[in-house]
Amino acid sequence: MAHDTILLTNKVCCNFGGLKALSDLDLEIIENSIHSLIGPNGAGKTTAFNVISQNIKPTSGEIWFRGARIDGVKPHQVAEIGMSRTYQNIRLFANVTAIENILVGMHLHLRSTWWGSIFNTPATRADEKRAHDEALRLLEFVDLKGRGDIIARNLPYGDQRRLEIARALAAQPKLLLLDEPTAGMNPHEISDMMDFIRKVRDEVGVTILLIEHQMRIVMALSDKVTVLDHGQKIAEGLPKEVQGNPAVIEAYLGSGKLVPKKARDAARATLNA
Amino acid sequence: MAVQIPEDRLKIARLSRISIVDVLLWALRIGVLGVVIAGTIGTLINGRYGWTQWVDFVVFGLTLGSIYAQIALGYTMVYGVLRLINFAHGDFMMSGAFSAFFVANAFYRSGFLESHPVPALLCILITSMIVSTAVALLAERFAYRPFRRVVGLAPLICAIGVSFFLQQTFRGMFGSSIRAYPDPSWQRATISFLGIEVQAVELLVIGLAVLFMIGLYLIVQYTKMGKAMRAVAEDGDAAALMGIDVDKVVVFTFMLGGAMAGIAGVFYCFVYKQVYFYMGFTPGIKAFGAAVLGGIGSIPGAVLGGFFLGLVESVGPALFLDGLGIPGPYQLRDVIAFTLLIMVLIFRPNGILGERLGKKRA
Amino acid sequence: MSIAILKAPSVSVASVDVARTLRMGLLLGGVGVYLAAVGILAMFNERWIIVGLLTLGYGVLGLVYLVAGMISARRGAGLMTALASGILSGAIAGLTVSVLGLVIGPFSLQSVFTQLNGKLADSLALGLAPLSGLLVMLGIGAVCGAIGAILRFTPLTVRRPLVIAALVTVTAGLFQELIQIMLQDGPLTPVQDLIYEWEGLTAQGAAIVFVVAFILALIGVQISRRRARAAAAKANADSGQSLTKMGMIFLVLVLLPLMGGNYIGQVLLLVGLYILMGMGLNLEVGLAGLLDLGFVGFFAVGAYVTALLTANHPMAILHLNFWVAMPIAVLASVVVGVLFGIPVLGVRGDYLAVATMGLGEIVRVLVVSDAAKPLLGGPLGITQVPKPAIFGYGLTTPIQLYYLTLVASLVAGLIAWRLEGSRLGRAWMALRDDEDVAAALGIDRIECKLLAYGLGAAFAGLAGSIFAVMLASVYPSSFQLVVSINVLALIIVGGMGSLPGVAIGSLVLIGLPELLREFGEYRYLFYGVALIFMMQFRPEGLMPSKVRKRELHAAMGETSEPAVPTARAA
Repeated sequence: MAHDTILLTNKVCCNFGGLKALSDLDLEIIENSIHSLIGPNGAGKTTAFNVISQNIKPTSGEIWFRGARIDGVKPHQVAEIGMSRTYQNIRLFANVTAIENILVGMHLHLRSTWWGSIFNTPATRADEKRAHDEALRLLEFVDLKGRGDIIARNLPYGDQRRLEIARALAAQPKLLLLDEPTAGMNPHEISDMMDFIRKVRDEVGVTILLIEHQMRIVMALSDKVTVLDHGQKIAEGLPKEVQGNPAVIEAYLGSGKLVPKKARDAARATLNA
Repeated sequence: MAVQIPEDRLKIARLSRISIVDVLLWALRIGVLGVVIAGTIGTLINGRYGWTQWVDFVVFGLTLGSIYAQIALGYTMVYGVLRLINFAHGDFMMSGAFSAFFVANAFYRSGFLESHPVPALLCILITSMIVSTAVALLAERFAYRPFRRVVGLAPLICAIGVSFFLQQTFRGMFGSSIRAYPDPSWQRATISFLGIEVQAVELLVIGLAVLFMIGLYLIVQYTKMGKAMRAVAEDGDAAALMGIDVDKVVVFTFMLGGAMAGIAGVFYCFVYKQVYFYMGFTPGIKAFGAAVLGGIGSIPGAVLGGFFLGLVESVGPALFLDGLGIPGPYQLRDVIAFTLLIMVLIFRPNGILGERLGKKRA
Repeated sequence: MSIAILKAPSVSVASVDVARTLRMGLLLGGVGVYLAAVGILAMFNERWIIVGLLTLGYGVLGLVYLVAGMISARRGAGLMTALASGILSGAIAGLTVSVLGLVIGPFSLQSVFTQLNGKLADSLALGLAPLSGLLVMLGIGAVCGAIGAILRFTPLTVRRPLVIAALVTVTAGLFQELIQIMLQDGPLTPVQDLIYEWEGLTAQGAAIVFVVAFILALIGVQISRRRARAAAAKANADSGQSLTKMGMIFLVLVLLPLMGGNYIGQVLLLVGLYILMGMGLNLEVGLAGLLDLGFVGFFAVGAYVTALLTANHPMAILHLNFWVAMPIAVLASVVVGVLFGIPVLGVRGDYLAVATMGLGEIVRVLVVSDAAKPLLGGPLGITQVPKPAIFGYGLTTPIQLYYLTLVASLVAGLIAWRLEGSRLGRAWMALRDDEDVAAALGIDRIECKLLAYGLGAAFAGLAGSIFAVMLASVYPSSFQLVVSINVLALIIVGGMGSLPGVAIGSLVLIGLPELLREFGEYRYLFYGVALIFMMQFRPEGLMPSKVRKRELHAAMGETSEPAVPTARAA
């Protein structure tokens, strides 16, 4: 059970004009794991997310998700079979309340139809009531209890991050893609977020694919790490294995012509910390 | 407290790669292509039009294309710099055409237009350019400037408002009647070449258009302001960081666009020999289509798109529709132009020459 | 006289920002010149606000000078300085306008500008000799400018009642015919005798109306402030308020036809049809964010299908009862709406506006063309569409049809209101805000957008169906692009996404120009100005919807409003 593959990509390429954003990416994500995708800026991590969630169609290659081939299908169909995501630069519906954001996330799992809404049928009302209750539960889960009526734009930054995750969870995903959930946070907030991500995996039971910049987080959280550079996978394995990989260090720090040896050693020390 | 995620309610989704909409869109493409091909074959078999007529159509198409291209240039430059569809651009042309009409009319009455065509034409062109530019600058200052940093539909709606405002202003000031542009003998002259009679004024329009376009190209390519303009079109924020005064660039863009619209106004007078307050609207929208067709933001693209649209509009009714036995194919000229516009917006919003902007917009 | 006024505050003129004041004066003077050149002034001069004293034209000119004074007077400076700049810029504006009057004759401007004739020159000189006319105009400008400057310093609690009172007085003057008919032969006849004479409002009447309105408004403003303060304490008072608003507007709409004859009925019917269309376009633009300028196409389909199915005309296919034909027409509109929507599904934002406009134009050109003539009658259209009847009781007068329209718009409003808070409404909001995110949350863009087009088209089709009955005929010339723009303008002026806004927008933009010939002549000019001004200063409209207001202000890059206090405390 623990070794079921939930997502598999096979030789996925993605080109923008002449630029190869991804080339021959093979990924295998095991159910219920926390899998991290790391790499320097411009390595193609976010592109990989966009391709996996079908926001961008891959140029070639296959993507399998929960036994279905999903490359080339519409993004909402991917969401339908259990994938949701967050964004590097938070993309909430900024002008509506927190709870409405979550309700939008529940779209797939509500049964009310538009004609049902027009006639305000009992079924619709029951459905809306259930949705509201569930939204409140989700808010509580992400520590936003009592803040459901605040306009999303007016929430503090950390709350917005967690609201975005709550919205993604509202779609009841099996695989959750988190794009730099700790970006712009202070160390204290980061450690909260790390606990939170673990909690999501353990209590909700979703598989998590994480893009992260900071080694410390990746090392502490991940079951498996994939390193990308220039759109190519340069290393993969357990956090410990990746950490010492010379190719990874080189990708992060460059070939060394510009960075003095001392600085590189210091950086290596932090990487290994 | 864990969130209860109910049992997997997953429908075994049949993931289809092709939706009904895709099929319909393909049907639309094939349908339009089918009409074009069937019509063309029909017309050619019919043989109703001799080759002199086709040459006529092509020359007229290039003339129309000159007008569209001149207007499209303004659209494309403003869009490139501000990401704004300046709905009122056709009305800038209308204001130029009106001023051209008044100058020409005065010259005609005094006989100057008949006796000294070249200085008269110069005066008309300059007046039209000045008036169009002035209108464009006023519109920029009072209507568009507050929207410099605004995204969404508000600037577009404002532009629709400006368009209405200009049309109704001219209607109020000069009346709603259609006025005949004076028609001195030199405008009616024809040139015979290998047995084909071509209107001299059409050649004049095409020649002048090419001249002005080359001029514009040189300005945008080689002057300091032109370079700044291209920088802002590429990335406004970065350009501002590099010390480029974006406001000045926008004003300059509207100036160039307005001047081009003024020239287009004079051309319109030559071709259609009339002015009225609503004259700018349809050519404006069509020219926007031409700008998109050529790749919005691209100056050569706008020229290409304009000429292409002119040709299709002029040749199209005879070539595509006549062969299908459709009555009154010339009434459907606008249908052809708008179909082209819509097909471009649906299937090729990046245009033929424009890649950069399309990606940013997507 | 004017010299004296100018001299009094000249002590403090030193601190007046002369360049700016001059610029404002010239700018507003330019507005005055513009009003004269497009003919608005001449046309407005033909209607009295107060008989023998003030015409609408001079009223507007006065307003222009007043605005000049108002924007020149800066609050930062002292009252005297502000007063001086107000007077100066008002006078400059007046001077500019008078100078136009003086140059009309000598430069024979009429040969180019058709409106600048001798009569206008006379009225700009106030019927006096040129020079004294100029001086008096200068004085009027100065006085109005001074009033504007003073208004700037008046607290809002007084300024608002003043503005309301002025508006009421102007309304009482402009709509004198209607109001007089209403007052006639009833218990209110003494009121009529008091404030009106045969031609309109008397000076004494105007004073009475102004004072009464001012006092009432003063009280009203106080009460509404207190109530607003009370409401601020309660959460969710907003939705209740907008329901009350809606109810009040509806009540007015029900009662309006009782006040006038068939002419009013005719106007109201048109207003009702536009409300119906506004509700439809509101679903598309306001809720789903799809700027559709081909909207008139659906209206046309509704009208043509109804005509083809019911008319006593050789072109008609069937001769059905209206009540059978109407649903078919609505259905046809929905089908066309969906067909119309499919090709432009992938087109976003501003491109969508142009694409839909192109589609609408194609439909229009096709309908007029010879190609479609055997089917739709070409430019001559289809005539002799019979009026509907309920239980043998014919709906023949405009007022009866108006009530039919009102019922239809009520239903449409209910549908729109229910949908806004529903699952579909949220999906529309999501699509409007961020299409990619919406899709990643499992929202089917195609389904949602087509529903928006289809439902919007249904309302327009219904409006078209009633329109065909109203005119008893359909012509292609009724279905110009302008109709789409009208509907767009009314939902923008009323407030995008707001249902009471649709009603208000329709009353103001459709009803007013029909009732006042002066506005009717220049309606599209006013629409243009309204679109520009609303977008710049009040993009959320007169009666905003909450969410749209936030969105639009966020788009304008303004700071966000503070969080709801109750929520913050929790």
